Amino acid sequence: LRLRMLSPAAAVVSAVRAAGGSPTALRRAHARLLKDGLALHPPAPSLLVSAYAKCRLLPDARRVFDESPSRDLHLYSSLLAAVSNSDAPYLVLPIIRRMLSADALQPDHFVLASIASASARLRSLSLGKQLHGHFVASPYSGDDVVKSSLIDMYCKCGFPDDARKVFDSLSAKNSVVWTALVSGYASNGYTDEALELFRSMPGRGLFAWTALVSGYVRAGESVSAVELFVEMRRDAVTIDDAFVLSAVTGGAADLAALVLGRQLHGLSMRLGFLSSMMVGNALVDMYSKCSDIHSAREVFEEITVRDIISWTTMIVGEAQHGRAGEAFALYDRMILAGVKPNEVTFVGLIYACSHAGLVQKGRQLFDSVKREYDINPGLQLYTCYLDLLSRSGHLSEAEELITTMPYEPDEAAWGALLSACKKHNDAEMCVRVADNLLELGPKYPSTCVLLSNVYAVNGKWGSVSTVRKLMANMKINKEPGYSWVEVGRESRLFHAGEVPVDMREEILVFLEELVSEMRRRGYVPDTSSVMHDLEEHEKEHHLFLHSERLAVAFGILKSLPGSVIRVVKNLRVCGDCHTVMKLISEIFQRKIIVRDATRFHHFEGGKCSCGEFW
Amino acid sequence: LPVPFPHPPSPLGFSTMASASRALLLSRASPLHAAASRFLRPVAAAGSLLPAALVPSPAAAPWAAARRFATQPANSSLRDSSPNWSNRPPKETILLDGCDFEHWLVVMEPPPGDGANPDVTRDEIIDGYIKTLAQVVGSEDEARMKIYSVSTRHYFAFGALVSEELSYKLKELPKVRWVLPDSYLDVRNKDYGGEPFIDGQAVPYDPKYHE
Repeated sequence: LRLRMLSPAAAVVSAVRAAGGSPTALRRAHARLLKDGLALHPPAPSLLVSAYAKCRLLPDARRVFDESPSRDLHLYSSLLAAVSNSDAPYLVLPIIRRMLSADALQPDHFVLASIASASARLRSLSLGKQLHGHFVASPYSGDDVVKSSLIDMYCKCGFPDDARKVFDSLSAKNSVVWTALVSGYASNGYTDEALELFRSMPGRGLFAWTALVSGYVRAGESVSAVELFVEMRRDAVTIDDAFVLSAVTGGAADLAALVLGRQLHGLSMRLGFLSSMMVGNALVDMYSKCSDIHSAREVFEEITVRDIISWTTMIVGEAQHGRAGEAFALYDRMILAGVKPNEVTFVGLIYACSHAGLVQKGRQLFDSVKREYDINPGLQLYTCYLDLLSRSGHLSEAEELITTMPYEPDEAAWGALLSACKKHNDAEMCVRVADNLLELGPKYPSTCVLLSNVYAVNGKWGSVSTVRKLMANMKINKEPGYSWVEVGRESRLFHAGEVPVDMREEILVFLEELVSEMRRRGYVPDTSSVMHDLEEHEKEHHLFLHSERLAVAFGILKSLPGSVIRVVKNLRVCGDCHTVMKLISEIFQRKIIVRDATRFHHFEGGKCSCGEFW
Repeated sequence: LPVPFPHPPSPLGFSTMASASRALLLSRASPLHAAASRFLRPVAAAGSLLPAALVPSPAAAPWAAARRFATQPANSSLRDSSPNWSNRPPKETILLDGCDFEHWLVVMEPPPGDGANPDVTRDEIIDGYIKTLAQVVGSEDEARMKIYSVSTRHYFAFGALVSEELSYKLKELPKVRWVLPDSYLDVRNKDYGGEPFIDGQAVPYDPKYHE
């Protein structure tokens, strides 16, 4: 009754508003409007479109749009806003075309803003630029909201400098757009610009700090990210959102800084965020990357609601620590819990199979990726599977895979196959694969060493000299080795060949005594992994001063007896150091965990968890 | 011992795995959305101004984000990227303010009941903490003097002033879940947080200690 006493327009507005966010109430209101003959005339259609969109009923919104006898800008802007926020933002394109051609309407600022937002979500620079051009020439060129959307678009498309130009033209800058630009700079690697802009922001709240810290972590500058976090804490910014904690914990994971990670764990608890899944996931990842798989697992089991990231992070962690059984058991639990795996899950699982030599299981898993889960395996997954087949000696199957897979095999793939061929002494295949790898143009010195040895063993001296030339042009020292070790709250960095002055005596004496003891137990230095052109005894001395050795020496000398020594190295542990670590763990009865560029090595009682599989 | 030959970069190298998991971890939406929409015009939600890192990437492969970053044009403020994602290893351990390796947050198994309303009394919980610490410092009197804060709601833990060596011993005790290096909750006032424990006595409970 009340409805008929209002003017038609007001009646419509009131009816739709009253429905709130409830689909049933909305449909009922829509039905009434249809019966009252009000549904097809403005303002009903655009209100209905927006209302259906809010209820996430996009097909209904679309139908209202299509059935509307006339379409004005208001209606278009409602639909475009809805579509640009939906799961299918690319659907704005046909709508725009229709608006321009069939209905001959020129976009207004609402429409322009929606299109800008869609291009941001699509990361489509071409659409965004077209829009920008149109915008500048339109009567709305001073509109700040459109400009804000353009800023977001340029940042997401990776062009923060263009975003900055638009930013500078804003008449009024609110904190949301400042934050968007800071984040845009930071996550695209323009960390200096991000910081400068941040410092000139009037009033920096948690969102801005979060954008800065997480941007720095994303750009790979975790040390600075953590330093900024410390500064944020001193600024007494209230942390009422967990994201910044998970971001900085991610930074600790990147740095393999266990001490820092544990502090953040404690802080998250005191701040009341330990029940946050995001923080939980970040902690699992951190403990796992900091070589403390047991703590990772404990945190994982404490997370009350787990998503695909929780499971995958834990599975990958177990796989990288050589605990294949645990990885598979987790996978089974995950499926039982109704969580669908993603590609990264399978990379972890197949890696675990590789380690344990479980070929059949690996085959089954790889097959199920497409068949059961409709995921198209990417290059990384193919390479992982290739690695499994190669290592376990299924060379012809591996070769078939590498030639038929839908990606160009890269250096890692060919290299994995070649190492396996060499190990299994298949001469003819070795040379064939080596030729492929050589044709690709190797970029890593270790690949060249492998190639030259394979050719030499097979008498292909021409190829040997080709490889040697390649190597000569490559800078062998491109990647200096360094290792760091955390002892208590002290963390020390060691560069290969450099013994710090304050520990010189101690460490050298220690290492010399160690070598004598090792020789007594039958150790012979293996110099084949030294790639420099040196005399044999010089090579031995070179090995002597490898960074991980210095780090472990420091660890044994300085840490609490019985504690675990954790070392992180930026390169792969060389064969000789691997042997030495095993011996050290036996001689000194200490557990040593070394994280190198590819995996974790748990040295205990003379053995390593990797089973010589690295 | 047969030594495996130096391998070329592995498919499961940390750089690729880390980028993948980092992209996954950082791709979560955040409550920023709520703040962002406040500034936008009500009719046409004029675009999501969420910073790039905080919007779920639309159906992208887990490491697509990292790959995108890898193809950025060189720029003065872009550091040279090494195969490792970690561009600069820390030369010293970074410590949060208040972390001195003498203050430890000792997290215990929660008592029976619900976290906001446990079945056991506050005094009993605190007594449990004292008895636990006593096992490594020698006596309950010692323990009382070494506790600087307690938490008896939502999370169950106490702050203990002991050496690093003793902290490892604490971790081995039953019912102790975690022993973490404690740091300031309120940096400006140099306060570790929780319910203060002064001179062997807990300060009466006040919800402000847990906000």
